[in-house]
Amino acid sequence: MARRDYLGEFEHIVLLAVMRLGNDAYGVTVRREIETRTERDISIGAVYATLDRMEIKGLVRSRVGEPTAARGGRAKRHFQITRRGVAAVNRTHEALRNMSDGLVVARSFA
Amino acid sequence: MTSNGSPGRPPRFAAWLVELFTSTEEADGVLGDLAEEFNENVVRDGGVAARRRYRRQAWHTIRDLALSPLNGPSPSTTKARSLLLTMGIGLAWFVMTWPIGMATNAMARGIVTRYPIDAYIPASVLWAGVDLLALLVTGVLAAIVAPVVRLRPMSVALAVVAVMALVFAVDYPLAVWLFGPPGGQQRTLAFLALRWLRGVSMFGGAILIGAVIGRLSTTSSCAKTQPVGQAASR
Repeated sequence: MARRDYLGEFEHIVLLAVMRLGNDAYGVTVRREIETRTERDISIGAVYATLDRMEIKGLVRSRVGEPTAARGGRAKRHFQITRRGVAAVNRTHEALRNMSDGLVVARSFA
Repeated sequence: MTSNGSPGRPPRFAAWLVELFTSTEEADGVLGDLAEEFNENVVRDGGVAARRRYRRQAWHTIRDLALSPLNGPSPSTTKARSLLLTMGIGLAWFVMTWPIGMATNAMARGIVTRYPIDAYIPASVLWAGVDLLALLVTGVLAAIVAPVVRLRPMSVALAVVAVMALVFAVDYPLAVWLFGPPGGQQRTLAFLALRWLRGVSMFGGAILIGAVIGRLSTTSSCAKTQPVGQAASR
């Protein structure tokens, strides 16, 4: 695997959140999904900085929706995982599985 | 400037700062998300708590966006950033020496020949003014060029100021170490600290002000500024 295809810890979490949310993945929902499942307090800025970086890498793509009144007349930016992003998640999971395979500490938490 | 507005509206100054630190492409998404959460918080916790949470979120968002170009970029963006930095340094050098430097020199020569203002304005003040003007223009240009390579204008300006702070921290001690103290006078640590603070605030400030002007000049025209407090009540 090329070095650039490795996912950082936060990239990994954000990508999984985007996958879970499907068509409803945008800043607010991604942030909430991560907060709910990991109990980490993160900012919208951290989510966007990571998603922008992953978009440059081709792991996600974004599209701008229609402006809505509930958002002060500003549009949502929806994110969707790409085929390359799915492959990166799978590779990362495989690497983690391989690294933890046979470890007593990992088995005790399984 | 203070955060003003009614409790049903997000703090204007915080929203403006967030917009400043985002790129034009992402400004709508980020500010819209903050506004959406603000509206929900107003209904759930009231205006005062919602405004407090908005300010906290805005600060964390600015911090994360401002530092993001320095965090683990991909190889392609590293190249782009290196290119931009090289361009920036070249641009700063170019702007400082020509045409503004030359034009200002010519103008200053003409004025000094005609009016003896050199008797009233020390040369160092004149040159500091020329440098500040050049850095201001550099900040504007860097902010306009940055989005072309998908960089956040204010993050670039902050990176330049960080490099400048590093240079100011080592240049004088290095010169003293190499050539000895000027005029044989020993400098105290307080003198070096004050010199560093003055240099960074004056010259770094000029770049940042230039970047703010550049960022505001490229503000997306599609961004609507409908009051979110009213939107929530609909």
